[in-house]
Amino acid sequence: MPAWKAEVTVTPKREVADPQGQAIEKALGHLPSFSGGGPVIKGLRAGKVFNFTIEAADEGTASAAVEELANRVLANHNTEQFAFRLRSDA
Amino acid sequence: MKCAIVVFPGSNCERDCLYATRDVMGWNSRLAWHGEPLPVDCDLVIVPGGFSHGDYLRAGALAALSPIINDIRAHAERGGMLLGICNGFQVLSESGLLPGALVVNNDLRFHCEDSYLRCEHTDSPFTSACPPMLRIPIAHREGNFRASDAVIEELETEGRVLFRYADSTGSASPAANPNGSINNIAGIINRAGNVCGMMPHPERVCDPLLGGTDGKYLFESIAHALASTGGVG
Repeated sequence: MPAWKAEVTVTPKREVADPQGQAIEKALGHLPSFSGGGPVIKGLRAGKVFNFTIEAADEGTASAAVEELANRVLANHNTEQFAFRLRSDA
Repeated sequence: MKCAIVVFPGSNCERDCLYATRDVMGWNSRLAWHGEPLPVDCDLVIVPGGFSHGDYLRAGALAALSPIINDIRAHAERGGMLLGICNGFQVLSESGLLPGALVVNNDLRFHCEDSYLRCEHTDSPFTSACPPMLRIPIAHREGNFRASDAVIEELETEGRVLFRYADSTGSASPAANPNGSINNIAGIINRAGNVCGMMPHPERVCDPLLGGTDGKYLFESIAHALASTGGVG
């Protein structure tokens, strides 16, 4: 069966507080290049990335399966959103 | 009164629950390993606290995929009482048996401390014997209850918030909120009224030797409810 490399990205929904992301953003202020007039990071959100290979009869089937996995397992629809992409593993 | 306490790899409060329900309450309680079918004749199923499956992915997410969840769902659907404590609450919300989600505490810290809980009403099988205020400990890092505005509205208007974090005077103020939960929510119930999830640990305060007995009110409420219905079988 043909195979695809899948990458699923899960991030907190925009309206959900992300204390981890906020803590990282705050800590970045301690790096010399981000302090005192340097570049400013805003709206940092911490998430997760899942990489795997999926074998399926065709790309449509693979895509539907990855979407179901992301929707039902990898992301909690109450608080998280996801995006995914497939690329051919030929 | 038959009680099953579900054990996942990484559960760590199952023996406290066994002590509270069997040794203190005198029930016929037993542990039920998640890899085996749930005993079919339970009146009450408890999903205890701990770190099921190491909290990998999200707290409770992998346990929610365990085959025993189907048995637990069937138990709840036929009206059986189901109580999720701490990680058990996370498992029940991840499995869709209760709404919302428990995310990391606002201050990113693990909170292990006594909490004062305001019991919102006694018109539920989990709170009928509870006084207005309870002192029950919490021990979690992911206890920050979150749900959509619509779900929160539903929980509030339907009287499905059973416990709120409060100060010793009963004020559910932001200062009394240990984890950032919306509206200081510490425990909720499903619409049918037979499934309860709470972050605080009532099983840890059922014996004066352990520093308190306020947890017993919850188990006494359950006993009353089951005595009045004759249990479910």
